[in-house]
Amino acid sequence: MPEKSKPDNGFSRREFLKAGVGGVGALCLAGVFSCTQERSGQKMLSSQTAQKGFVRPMRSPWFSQIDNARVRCELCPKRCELAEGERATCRVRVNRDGVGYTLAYGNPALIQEDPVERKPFFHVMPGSRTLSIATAGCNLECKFCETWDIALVAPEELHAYDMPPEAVVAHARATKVRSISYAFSEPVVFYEYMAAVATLAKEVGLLNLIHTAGYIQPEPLKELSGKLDAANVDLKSFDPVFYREVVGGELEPVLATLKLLRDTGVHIEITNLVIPTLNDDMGKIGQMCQWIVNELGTGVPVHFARFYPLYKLSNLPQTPVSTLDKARHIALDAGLKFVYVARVTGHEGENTFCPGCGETVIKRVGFVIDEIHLKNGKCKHCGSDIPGVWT
Amino acid sequence: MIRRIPPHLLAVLMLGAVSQIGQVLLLRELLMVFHGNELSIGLILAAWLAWVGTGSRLGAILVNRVNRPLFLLMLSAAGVLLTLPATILLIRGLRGFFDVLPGAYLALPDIIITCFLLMAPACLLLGAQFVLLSRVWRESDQAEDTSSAGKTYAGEAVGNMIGGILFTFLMVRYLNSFQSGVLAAVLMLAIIILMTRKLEMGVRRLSVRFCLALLGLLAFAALAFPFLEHLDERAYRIQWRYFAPQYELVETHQSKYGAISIVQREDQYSFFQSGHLIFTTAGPETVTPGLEEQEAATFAHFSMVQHEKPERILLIGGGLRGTLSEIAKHPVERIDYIELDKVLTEVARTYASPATLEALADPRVRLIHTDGRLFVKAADEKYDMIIVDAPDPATAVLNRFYTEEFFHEAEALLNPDGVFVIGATSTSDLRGSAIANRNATIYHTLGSVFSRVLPAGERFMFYFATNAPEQVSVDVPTLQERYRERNIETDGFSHHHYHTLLQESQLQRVNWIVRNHGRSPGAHLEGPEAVPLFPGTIAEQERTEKYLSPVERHYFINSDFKPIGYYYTVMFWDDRTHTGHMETFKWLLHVKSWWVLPLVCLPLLAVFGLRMTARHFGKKPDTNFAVLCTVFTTGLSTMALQIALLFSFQSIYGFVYEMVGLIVAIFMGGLALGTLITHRYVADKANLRTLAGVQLLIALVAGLVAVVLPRAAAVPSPAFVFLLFSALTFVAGLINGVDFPLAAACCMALNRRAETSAGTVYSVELFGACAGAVLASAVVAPIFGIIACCLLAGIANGTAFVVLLICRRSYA
Repeated sequence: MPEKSKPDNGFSRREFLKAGVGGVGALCLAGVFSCTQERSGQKMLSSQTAQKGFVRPMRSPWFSQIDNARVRCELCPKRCELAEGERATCRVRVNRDGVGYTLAYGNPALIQEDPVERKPFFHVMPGSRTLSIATAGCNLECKFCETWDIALVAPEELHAYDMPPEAVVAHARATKVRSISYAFSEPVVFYEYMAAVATLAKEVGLLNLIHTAGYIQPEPLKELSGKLDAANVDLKSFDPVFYREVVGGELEPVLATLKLLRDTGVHIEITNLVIPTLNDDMGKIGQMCQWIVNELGTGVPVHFARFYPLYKLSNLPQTPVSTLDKARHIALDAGLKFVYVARVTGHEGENTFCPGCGETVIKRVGFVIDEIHLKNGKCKHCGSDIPGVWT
Repeated sequence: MIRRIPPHLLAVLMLGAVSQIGQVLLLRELLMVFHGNELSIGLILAAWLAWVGTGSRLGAILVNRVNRPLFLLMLSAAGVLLTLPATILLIRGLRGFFDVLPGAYLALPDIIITCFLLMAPACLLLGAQFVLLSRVWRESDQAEDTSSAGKTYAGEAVGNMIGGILFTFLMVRYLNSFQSGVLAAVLMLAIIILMTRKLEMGVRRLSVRFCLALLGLLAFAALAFPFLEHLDERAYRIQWRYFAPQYELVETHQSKYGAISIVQREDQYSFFQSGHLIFTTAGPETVTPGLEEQEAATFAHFSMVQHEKPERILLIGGGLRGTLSEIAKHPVERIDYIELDKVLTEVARTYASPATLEALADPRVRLIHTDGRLFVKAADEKYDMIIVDAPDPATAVLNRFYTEEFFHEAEALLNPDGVFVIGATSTSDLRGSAIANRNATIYHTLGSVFSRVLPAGERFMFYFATNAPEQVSVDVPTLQERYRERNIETDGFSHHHYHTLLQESQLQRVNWIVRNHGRSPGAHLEGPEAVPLFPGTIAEQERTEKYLSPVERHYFINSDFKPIGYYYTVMFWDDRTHTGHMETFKWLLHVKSWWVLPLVCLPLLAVFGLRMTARHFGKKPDTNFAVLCTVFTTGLSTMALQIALLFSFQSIYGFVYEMVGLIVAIFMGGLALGTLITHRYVADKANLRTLAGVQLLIALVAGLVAVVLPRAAAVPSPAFVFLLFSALTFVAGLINGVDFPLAAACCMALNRRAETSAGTVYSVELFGACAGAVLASAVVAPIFGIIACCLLAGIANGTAFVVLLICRRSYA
């Protein structure tokens, strides 16, 4: 992998954030004040309607200059080199007159409230609601993509809301959610927007959660991780060939992301979508679990999610529950303490069991919390620590 | 008996039969590989017609350059014997040529390229045979005109009929695809050899070695017949290895509705019909069948609590995947379960979960093998709930369960406080026009019949419809209470599931989209508006809905006579294969009815232009053009009328394979009789005037069908419906059959040879039919309606009439 060169566009990230937050913030200042009152905030936002193809091109500091006309995006390992007028494979980053811009800033195509378990985060404020935001675009091209209608399209093709970072935070406060989630499409491609929202959210005491494929360069990730409270990373397989041929990326950078998140102390959960015949080889799943144990620790929650016939693979049967059970047992045998089966509502594997006493700590049905036996992050039965973000 | 039948007639009948069998075989095989939607069916048919037409044109060029037509016939029959099984084999291995993932659909360009490439050899040979047989017949009759071509045309139509009957009643039951193809081709070859000997035409010139080689081939094919069973099995395994590697192909069964394949992975069994995943079941050995069949459990328990006390249930489809057994867990008195395909239920019994088997044996359950529409039309009992668990409306046949007419029929069968449930694939936010149009159409269509409709869901959207508004609910405690009262024990569902199914923000968003979409003139092109950040509760949305603009009925009401639902489903399929043809589909939605005017003007302008050229050069290119234009429009209108009649028959009468087959047979019978009558009584009047008269007659018949069809829906007696359709179909076939011999004679009158004329006319007619197949099934029927198909036919022949009039004037 080529070594990352320092961006030399004379526009530092700190300056960028200041500009992004401050500049747009000034415009929305009145809004911010009014949004301190929840009712009035809701009233203001209820008139918010989305426009087709709304973009707010924003100069991005995550481009390095190759020459006068060409730039290189330094955000993800693809490091797209863009000639003038060219757009990166993620569909939202573009070279305009020799300057790198993002088209995914302040224009979420999705903004909605969800239970936090739906992200899925099982060890973050159980039963709380989160505000999810997503823009168009993705830097990968999974052939089994489940959010293809937002991730695999350009921002011009979607309706988007005019939501500067302040407005997002105001909306989050108005709806009394506990956290903001950057999820559904790939938050890496709207990095600048996410970073600006996360900065403001942190200031007002909201948690920042990210659900990502983890396909990002170390430097932007390091800068972001200080603002993040938890990350759910899609580890789509432990097979580099699968990553190359089906996902359209490489495995190694994703593993590097996980290690970096570990080092920066962000709470990590891992989702592995188990697709019949494509990535359900139990040998590979075993290797993946062993790697997680060795590199990230046994306390990292792992979700084995059921595949349903969707998008391009609409004719491939859903994952047999027995396959998910096998994967779960392999993970437990490898030493992982919190292994879940996702998207089989009512499966025993949705519950959190205390690694100390084996009792059920959190009983779930889908994203509904049925019972919770946890106090200050400890099992009520035996007092064992359960890793996560509980307060 | 055979001695009395002229051998060339036998050969012609055989050509018709082999054509029909070959067409059905290749269609079934290709649908196993493609997505079985109406567009792919139309494309396969179009490819077949186009290549047979080309074959016939090439045959016409070739036939006058050779003096041994029988030799060529033998060669072509031998070619069919080789190409038909080879094509089937290639189709089975087709996915190996593409870089597609297991379970992925082939995209539209792949479908177009492959079906045109693969069908070419067999179709070219069959097309050429038509011309060769016309010549053999003419030489046998010692005639110089095109009367023999007319007889060949009629004989082929009768052969089509026989082939269809043979396939439906015998071949599909007892033979596999290879055996059917080889048997048909071997018989064809044998009859041609027999004919050669009988006619003693040039047989002495054929070398003994050549005859021996052919006989050897025949003997080889006969001997190889038992081994074809083995080949079929191997070929299926190859096909499934490409389609779903690591899945074990457990069984394959031939049903008249399509090949059924069952594949196994772990303890899960997946059922495919015509290569399309229809459902999965937990196998008998599954430890947690409820979890494995969770989607069915969810479908059942979410639906059943929409009624306070459901006692009599009608379940249409889906029972085998677990829906039936879960419904049976509710304290119901009676469940009538309708399944179309008996072969499917028989096969599924081996691989169904114990709960499903138990439910099938439950005395409260009555399993009825029939078409759902037919049952609903004829039933006289009332139900508390009608639950339709059908695949998405991807074809005209499936679309019948999503139409306004069906919803009315279902409503009539429900008790006053009854609930109707139906569902379709969805996406969480219905982004994109295809899925939003389709699902909003289902909502609005239900809304045009029932007083309250509640949509709910994420990747699958449920619709609960009723005329007793208090009955259906999205209030979680209410539904939980109903569920708890019934003391249901199941391991794939619990009262908590209602929270996940009715997650408030998701529910509000999808309701807002389907309720608001489809109420502005360009909505079908632009896709849905974005949901407001606070879309409002369902109660608020229901209150304000009456103040919204009215629904754009033309694009958002799905009906038997305008099945737009399948068009949107095809669009959604294209969206998912992500090949970027969405703009083309949207462009087609732009099509306005007046666009037909330039199409009408084109031949008129052309004929005027050619008239001027004719004066200059002293030839008759305008007349030649006019005759071929007539032939093209007749081919087009024959196909458009056939599609209109078939689509409406399936909706109004019901989809009973044999009856639909019979309607096709009646059409072919009418076609054959029309040709023979013309040959016998008006052969001497084969001029432009008669031809023009026939065009006018076809246009009038098309108009008559357009007037009668909508009224046929009101006929209560199924027997009378059948009689009415038989009569209409017969007349449509008859009048179209009149055209061919007249056109061929007119064509020959323009200084052409008999076979050249016959081949040209036949090929142009097939090209017309090809255009008709694609136009009618993919565009006109869904966007403008079935009646528009009839009008298209009428306009086409009306145009041909005017074109001929212009030419006649030029003679004067």
